[in-house]
Amino acid sequence: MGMFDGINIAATGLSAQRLRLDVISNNIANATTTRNAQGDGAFRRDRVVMTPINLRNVWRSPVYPRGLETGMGRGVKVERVEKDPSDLRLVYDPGHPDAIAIGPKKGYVEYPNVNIVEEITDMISASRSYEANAQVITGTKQMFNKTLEIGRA
Amino acid sequence: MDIYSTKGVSFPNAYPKVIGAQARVDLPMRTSDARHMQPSAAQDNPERVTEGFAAVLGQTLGRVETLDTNSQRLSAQAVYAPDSVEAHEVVLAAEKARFALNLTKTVTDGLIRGYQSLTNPR
Repeated sequence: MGMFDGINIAATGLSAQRLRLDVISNNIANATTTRNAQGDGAFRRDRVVMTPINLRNVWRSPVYPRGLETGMGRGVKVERVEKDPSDLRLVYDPGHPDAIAIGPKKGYVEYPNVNIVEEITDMISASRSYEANAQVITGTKQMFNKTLEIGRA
Repeated sequence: MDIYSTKGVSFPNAYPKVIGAQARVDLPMRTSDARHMQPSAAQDNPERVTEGFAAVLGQTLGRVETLDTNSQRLSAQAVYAPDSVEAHEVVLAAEKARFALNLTKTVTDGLIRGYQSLTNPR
């Protein structure tokens, strides 16, 4: 039914923020992991790329730029989870089993580029976004209940 | 009989061919392209009343039923396989089912009251 559109859109927001929180949790858990799944270096921070869901195609033309606007969207979805390409942290520790053996960085150990403070801030932001989406659903529910009250008496 | 052949006859109730007759291959001609069968905008209007009230009520109850079974399935999954469902999916499905049921009940209550007020000779 068309009346559940608001709830569905907020549900996509809830899903996306939960996924973002899972990614942050993984980053924090692996904050000092010196190996990664591929075996070629330290763990790199993941980040989430989100994109809005629009059911219509977007075409632009300089002649009629507003002609095919997409109108109301349908929520958000996570497009991909990608690695953050920023530099890794280097700590000098020649005795570490993962220390770099050759080259100019000999003796240094690569640690992940995860900044705990930044991750916790992201986590607070994700949690607040989740709460905001839940608030939207509560508001929609109250609207529904008021509507039913019209027909009741 | 010698003058008839059943070779090349594919359908079980087709007549046997006379031997020497050319096989007629029917070209697969489409008499109507799919592009001409697009549903027109008028047909998609959900407010158009084309069926009787009973049919509409049946459809609505069917939708409510779908929402309800979906919500029950998700709740059962939340108990048996909690990692396979998201928490908000379960809660929202339950809410949608509850609301759809309430709405249908309110509407039918109003209709029944209207019907009664029309038929009771007081």
